[in-house]
Amino acid sequence: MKNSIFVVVSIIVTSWVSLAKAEPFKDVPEKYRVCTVCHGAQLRGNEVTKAPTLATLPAWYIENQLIGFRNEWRGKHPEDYPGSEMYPVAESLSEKEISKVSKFIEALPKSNKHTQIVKGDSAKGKELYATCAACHGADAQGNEVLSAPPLLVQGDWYIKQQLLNFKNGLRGKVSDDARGATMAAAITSLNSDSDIDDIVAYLSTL
Amino acid sequence: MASIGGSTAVLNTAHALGLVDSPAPGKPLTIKPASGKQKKIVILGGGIAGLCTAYELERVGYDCTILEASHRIGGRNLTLRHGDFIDELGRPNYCNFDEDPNLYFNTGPARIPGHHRRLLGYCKTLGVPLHVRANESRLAYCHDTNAFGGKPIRIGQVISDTRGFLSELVQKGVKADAFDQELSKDDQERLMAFSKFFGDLKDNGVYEGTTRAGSKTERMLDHSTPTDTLNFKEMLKSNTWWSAVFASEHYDWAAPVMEPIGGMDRIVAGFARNIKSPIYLQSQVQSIEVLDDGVTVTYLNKGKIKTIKSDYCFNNIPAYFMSGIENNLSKPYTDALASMERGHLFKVAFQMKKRFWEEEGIYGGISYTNQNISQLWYPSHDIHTEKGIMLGAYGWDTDRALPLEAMELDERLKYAASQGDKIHKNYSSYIEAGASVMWARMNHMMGCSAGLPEGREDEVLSRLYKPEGRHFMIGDQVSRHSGWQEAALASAHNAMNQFSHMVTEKNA
Ligand SMILES: Cc1cc2nc3c(=O)[nH]c(=O)nc-3n(C[C@H](O)[C@H](O)[C@H](O)COP(=O)(O)OP(=O)(O)OC[C@H]3O[C@@H](n4cnc5c(N)ncnc54)[C@H](O)[C@@H]3O)c2cc1C
Ligand code: HEC
Ligand code: HEC
Repeated sequence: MKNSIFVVVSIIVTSWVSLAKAEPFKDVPEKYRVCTVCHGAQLRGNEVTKAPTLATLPAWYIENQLIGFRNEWRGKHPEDYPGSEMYPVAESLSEKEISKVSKFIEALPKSNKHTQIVKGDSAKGKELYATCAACHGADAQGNEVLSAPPLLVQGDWYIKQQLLNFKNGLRGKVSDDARGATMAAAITSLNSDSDIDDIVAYLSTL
Repeated sequence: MASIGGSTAVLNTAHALGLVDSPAPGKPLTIKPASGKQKKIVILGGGIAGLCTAYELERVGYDCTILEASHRIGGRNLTLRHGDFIDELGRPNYCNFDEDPNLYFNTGPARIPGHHRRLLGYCKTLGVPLHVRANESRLAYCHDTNAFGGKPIRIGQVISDTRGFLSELVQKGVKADAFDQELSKDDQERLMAFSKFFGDLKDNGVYEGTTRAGSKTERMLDHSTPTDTLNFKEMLKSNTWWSAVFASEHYDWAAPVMEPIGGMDRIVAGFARNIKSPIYLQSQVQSIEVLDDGVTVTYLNKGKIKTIKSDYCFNNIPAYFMSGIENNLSKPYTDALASMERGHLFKVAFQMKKRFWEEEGIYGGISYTNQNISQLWYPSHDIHTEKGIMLGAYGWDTDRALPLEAMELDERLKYAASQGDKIHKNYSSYIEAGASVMWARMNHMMGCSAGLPEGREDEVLSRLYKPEGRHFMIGDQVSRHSGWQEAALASAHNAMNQFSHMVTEKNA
């Protein structure tokens, strides 16, 4: 028998799972098509390009973040490569565009894409989450008054990345970034990276 | 069998049982003319592999459609000229070179060695004239900020001295009986004679410089005097000279290399001239659904979601985008796609108002430096005309790319110019215009190529060399030689051979 790579044998596919789209795809204005290059079709995220799921994030939070990038609160730390890729895109948007695109994203069909990459102890995570609930809500649906986003859609790998960013000073450390600073202060309640994994594992159960 | 797997299973049972061997990769392209009703092919992405697939399949009677996300076809085969759009994510800009067809910048592929037979074959049949480009100039420079006081050294000198120093060591080794185990006395004598010649050593086996690297005195009317040798220990401190002495050793850089006259994208234009299949630009694939009897693809075009149904699909999209494109491919297959890594190659080019390098005796070839810009390339075409486009940076290391990626456009050009100043006197003063292409930042590419994950190459390729149902992955990413157009063509040929085999089986 020849080297396995060179014997090309078509595989048996027992049956094709049809693309179960909870919601049909929505049209995307040509101007915002660029967002789908990194954030994926319908902005449902792409863990390989490290761009999170945006679909169903509230407009106020999307707007806060786009402004945050523009103000160089995010994406300028030399170790933050994914942020540095988002930064010039946000910088190129006017305030009006930011407000429009944020509303557009909020209205996209809810993403049902659940990538579970992070492994942790969700029972322990549940306990640890108690301190977070004060701002993000017991069900992690977010709280607009406190500017704390929902933590259910972005993708577990992304939530973990952001928690590490807050912990390691890549986010929430630029002066003027009051919201980021609030969160950066809150992260100090976590003692280790495994605490982070546990919380993220817990969030995946919600 | 059919009850377990439906028609796809029936189709593939013979293969799975090992009764029929599909064509092995590397076989010449042989596609049977289309017969039967299943003739609709959709090709996702109009890179070299996608274009080649359309070109070949339409010739044997298939009905192809290309969906291309960008405003242009060609993918990484991008040549910039006056006014061209540079689609960098977040920093879109235009090329500001003068309006002159000779002032062009091959931002991606720029050289074709003589053994890339598939590519050269297409150049010939598509009517793409080529000329030789010098990949090496002995008069170009090797520069290292940490060696030789940061002074640029001519590559001829580096090569001659390298040979001289190594030959001297060989002679010392023979004299110290170091090779008695390996070589007979006669062989050692021959080695002494060869190394003396190879290194241009003195009779006593010592290297004291050579006129091969030039002369300190006027060479035509006077005796030549060897230039001073470099300091060998000083050389060892740097590894930039490794690149300089390696320039023509790499098989894919084997001199002479070719380039299409007028720019590498003449190959893309050659395919486009000879393809009748419709090519839809600004049509970005959003989902791929592979079914027993065909493939359904949705794409975004002018703000609308559109759907196309076809019988087979050839997918040329960079693999790392696939996790963002909805699909029903199997987990092992999508895992293989998701494992591909983004590369960070980058180039910067300047329009120089004067071809100052020619006055330094440099006609084509490459200078090497340990600075982030890494390389300077001099054009081989249009020698002694007034202006020229020279490559002011071409880096491979991710570490060298990241700082430039983060910079604003102007800052990037200034940075590259200031590093060029360390190699050529008054370099910056000749710059009239400039453009940069950071491949990891380019829209719809986001990388210079999708790289195989280290240690998992076999596993990933063995998965992607095979189709999944009616879906074939193509592009240089599905090869062991990504970063070369020849590999993109080889992968397309491999996929088409398998496709032809699959269809023949099905119709039999
Ligand atoms: C800096 C650099 C130097 C190089 N030097 C050389 C050289 O000297 N010689 C050589 O032979 N090769 C060289 N190469 C390699 C050469 O460019 C590639 O091998 C070749 O162009 C790859 O072709 P491809 O068909 O694999 O696809 P690509 O060129 O990667 O094409 C992929 C296509 O898919 C499209 N696409 C992406 N997303 C979507 C979507 N969602 N829907 C539809 N379409 C989509 C893209 O726009 C693109 O057109 C170099 C490359 C780089 C970057
Ligand atoms: C070049 C790729 C790229 C493009 C194009 C892009 N993004 Fe991003 N975006 C990212 C990455 C990567 C991140 C995550 C950054 C991080 O890890 O901090 C991100 C983060 C974001 C966030 C923050 C999300 C959160 O939960 O905090 C928002 C909002 C966002 N992008 C909106 C957009 C919009 C709107 C567009 C189109 C106008 C867009 N992006 C285009 C790569 C991109
Ligand atoms: C005092 C209120 C507060 C507490 C407590 C708090 N957060 Fe936050 N969190 C915020 C705010 C405000 C933001 C938005 C920051 C910004 O705008 O950049 C945020 C942002 C985040 C983000 C980034 C989400 C994204 O899409 O980028 C994550 C993840 C997060 N919080 C997780 C947690 C976890 C886990 C805890 C518990 C350990 C926690 N937060 C506790 C206020 C809080």
